[in-house]
Amino acid sequence: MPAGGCLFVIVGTDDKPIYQAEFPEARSQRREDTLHLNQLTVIHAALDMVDELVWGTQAMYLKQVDRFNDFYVSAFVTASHARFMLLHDARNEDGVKQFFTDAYEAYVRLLMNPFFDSGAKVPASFDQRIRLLGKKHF
Amino acid sequence: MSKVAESCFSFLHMEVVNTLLSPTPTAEELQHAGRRLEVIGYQVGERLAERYTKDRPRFADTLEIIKFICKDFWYEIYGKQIDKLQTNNRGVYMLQDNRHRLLVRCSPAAERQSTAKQMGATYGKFPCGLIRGALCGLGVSSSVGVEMTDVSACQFTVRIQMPQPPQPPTPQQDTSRE
Repeated sequence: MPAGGCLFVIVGTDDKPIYQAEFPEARSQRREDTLHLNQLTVIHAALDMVDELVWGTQAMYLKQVDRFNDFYVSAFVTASHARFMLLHDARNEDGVKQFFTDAYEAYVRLLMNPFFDSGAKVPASFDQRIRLLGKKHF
Repeated sequence: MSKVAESCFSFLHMEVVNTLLSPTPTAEELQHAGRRLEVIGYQVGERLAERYTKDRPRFADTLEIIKFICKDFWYEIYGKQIDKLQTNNRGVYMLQDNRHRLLVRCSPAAERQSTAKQMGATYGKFPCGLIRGALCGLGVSSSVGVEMTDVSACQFTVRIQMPQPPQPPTPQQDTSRE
């Protein structure tokens, strides 16, 4: 498991992942594949917890929804039920809320684009913006 | 995110309706144009719903979503709220707008009084689509109709589609193996 790394996934309203990014940038290719699968599975398992908690509160930021060994999964749900999931370790806990808020702003701007269909691959500009935010907060 | 002048949009909308219709539209043409306007409104409504719910807490149930549409959503787009909301508590809502901004400057020509309501209904298709798109963006699937109650007054009927429980598969006769 990478120390200090975070995995950020946006799951759309139809439960399909729209976007995923890793902070910091993955280094060795082979190691990344096996670790990536592991982390992605944890995030998918946490989606059930999110669906349970979502009806209990009207806030968007759900804080920490699940735990796996020493990794935490935090979630942020938008009004249209798109879920932002972040797998991180205890070291990166502060700034998660700020990161989610900034990522939400970038996501709304992406949706406003009339050329973007939900379910399409996200454009590179959105990817760059999220990576900048990741560098800023983590 | 900046604003657009309302007159700009009014003129654009008028031109869109004119382009879709010939000078003497048949009922079929009106229906066809209405469907296309509704689809345009749907796509706009989805995006606007996402934008206007940005800094608000999420909604607890369908009634709150409808109230959001009547108050904040309509206010952001048209500068006023929906004047009357009625429901039969079984998934049907009636939204009454007494002075709809797109219609307030329309007056029917003297020789076309009889088709004025149909034309008005075509103008009302775009807001129909807006409502349907906004509801869909917030997770509620519905169908929306419009009726003209008066010159520049319209009533939107929203029918919420309840999710159907999955039907068990019916046993099929396998005649292909004979």
